[in-house]
Amino acid sequence: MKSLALAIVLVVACTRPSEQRAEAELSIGTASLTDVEVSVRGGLAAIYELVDYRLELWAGAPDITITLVAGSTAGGMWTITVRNVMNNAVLRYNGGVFQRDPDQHPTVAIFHVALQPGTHELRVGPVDADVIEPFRVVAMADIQQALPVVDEMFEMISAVPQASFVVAMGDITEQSLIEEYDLFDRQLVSLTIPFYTTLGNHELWADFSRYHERYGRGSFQMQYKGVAFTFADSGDGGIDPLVETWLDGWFATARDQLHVFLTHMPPIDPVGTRYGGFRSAEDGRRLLARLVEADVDLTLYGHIHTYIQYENAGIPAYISGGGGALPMRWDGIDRHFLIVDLHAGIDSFGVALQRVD
Amino acid sequence: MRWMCLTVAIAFASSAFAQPPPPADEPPRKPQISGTRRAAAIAAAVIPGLIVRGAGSWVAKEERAAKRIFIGAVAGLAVGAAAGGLVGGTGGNPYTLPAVPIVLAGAGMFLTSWLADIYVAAGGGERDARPRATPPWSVEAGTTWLHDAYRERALLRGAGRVEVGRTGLGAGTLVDAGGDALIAEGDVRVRILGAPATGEPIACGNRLVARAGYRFHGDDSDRVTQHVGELELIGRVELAPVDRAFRHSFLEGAVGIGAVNVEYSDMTSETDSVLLGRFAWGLYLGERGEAQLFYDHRRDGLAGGIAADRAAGFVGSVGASVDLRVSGPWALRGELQIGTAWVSTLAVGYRGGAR
Repeated sequence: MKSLALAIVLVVACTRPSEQRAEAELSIGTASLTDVEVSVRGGLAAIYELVDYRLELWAGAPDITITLVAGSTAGGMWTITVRNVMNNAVLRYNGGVFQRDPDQHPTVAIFHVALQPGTHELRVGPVDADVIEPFRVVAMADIQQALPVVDEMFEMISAVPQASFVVAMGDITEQSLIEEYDLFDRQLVSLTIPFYTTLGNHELWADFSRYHERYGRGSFQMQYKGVAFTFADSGDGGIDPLVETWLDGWFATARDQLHVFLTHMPPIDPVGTRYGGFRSAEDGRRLLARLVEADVDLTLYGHIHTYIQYENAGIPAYISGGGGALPMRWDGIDRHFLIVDLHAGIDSFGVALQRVD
Repeated sequence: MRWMCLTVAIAFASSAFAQPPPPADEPPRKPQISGTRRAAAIAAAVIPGLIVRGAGSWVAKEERAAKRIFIGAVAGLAVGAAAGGLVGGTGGNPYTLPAVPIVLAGAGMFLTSWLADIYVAAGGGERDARPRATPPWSVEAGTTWLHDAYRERALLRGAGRVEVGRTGLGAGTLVDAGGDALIAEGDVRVRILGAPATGEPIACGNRLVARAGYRFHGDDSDRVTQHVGELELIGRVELAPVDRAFRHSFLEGAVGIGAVNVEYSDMTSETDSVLLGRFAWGLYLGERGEAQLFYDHRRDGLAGGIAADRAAGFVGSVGASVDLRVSGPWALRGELQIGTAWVSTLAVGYRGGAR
């Protein structure tokens, strides 16, 4: 009873519930051994393993750059395993292009690279990642209780022609259980393209590090073919002040780009009386003002288990909470995902609804 | 006025109460329990009473009050759960949102039953106290401190209100000392039920008021300007007619709806809607004023909503307020509201026009 009372007091008293989580993101994508240091630019990967001559990580973006500092004893043939990569990803290093081992899952790339002692920059991603040309992604959110059957959805997504990767707006799990994460990882086998995601409130039902350790940061920006994708962790119904400072920088970087902003909770619920958005409308509207000033082109949200197309602060917005979580009733839609076509060259995008059920 | 107290309270109390309630002005029963038992009653109300509503009153030998607290809590839980089940079970389908005020009413009954139990266990009803009618006119000056994850902000506040017959006009402003924000608001209140605005002690504080308000909120640092229009129904019911052990305490509730026009960075604007909902439990402090503990469901104010763990986003703010005449017409008002932000207010007021 005392712990319950203490929990109530802490919940009520806390004005910055995501502080620890935001600070923890700063160390994501870095690891070290006695004679080796690894860092991934922008924290765009979760490092699973760094042992003698072996590095394994989960890519949080289609195109990542790894800086590996090898000491005098760390030179040699390195095996670098990158999970969650695009089908055509290669490793580029020192002017050379390294192909991946054959017969692996399409999203798993294993490279063998000889590295001398010194500082090395390794880039993993498609060679045409910077080429401005149209491409297609799939957007989805809110899997939760549907984890056991999400493979059906992944198979449909894998069959979407020319889909490059999935962007997800959180709530992979229902209770953030380790078994749920394990199941999700197993279900990803049925998805043949990578899955880049932020976290949702359901990832906070247990220690948030379970998410960070597997999928990396919840707040980050990634670039692909001239399009900026900015993900923000809103799992607590707001954006942490530290994340807000990151957003300022990312918004400035992407000011003249086709720019997609993704977060779990809509800053303001389009049905205002429902209060399905940020805890503070003032905070939600402050974010929307920044999105307007940053000239963001498209916003994608989850959290509300339905499909809504609307505008927030004049910016096209979609809520797509159709990953299989308990659906909204009487709204005429069940499981679904979005097919998003993007073309930075002509600053245009299109969004199409794809029903699963 | 007593007829209104009885009518509203009886409706509130439900037909499960076998015995008719005693009149509100019946003299309080002398305390029949020892100090040790009183302390045990308070402890029982605070800890087991959190789960078993009425435990404190039972220990304090207020068995009838205990039963009514228990019934009120169960009824509130049932009503709140039923309405909440409808809203939650449909995933928040907009068609079910009219049930949200019922969720709030149920939650209000359930949560305030805990406070009522502590009150009875502490012998709150054995005090002497009386409500005061709204003063014919009043002015107030003070300061509000805003603490949230993003900033600290001191706001200077000024407000005034005047009552003419059944109609009250109010206006107020909050100015950021740093010059970044301005809130200006005004409202018209029409007294449907309740005592006229004399500012005098009255026999019963029950009231029902309709309110129409407007609020301007400009925030330069957020680059957001809001215009809010709202309609609200505010009611208060004294609990004494339910059982004499509840004397000098009351419940308050409000429900309403608003429309918001928001301008973003002087670049674009949009309209939105807000649901207003509030419940409070309070007690009278002698004849000098009152104190309240409250829940406010709206999310567009300075406080926002508390970080309610798994329910974050849906839950509004909680708070406490005290309004106390310290010398003649001079009063102090203090309030702490906790949501996304902590909003604390201290103000000095003059309650004019009392005969």
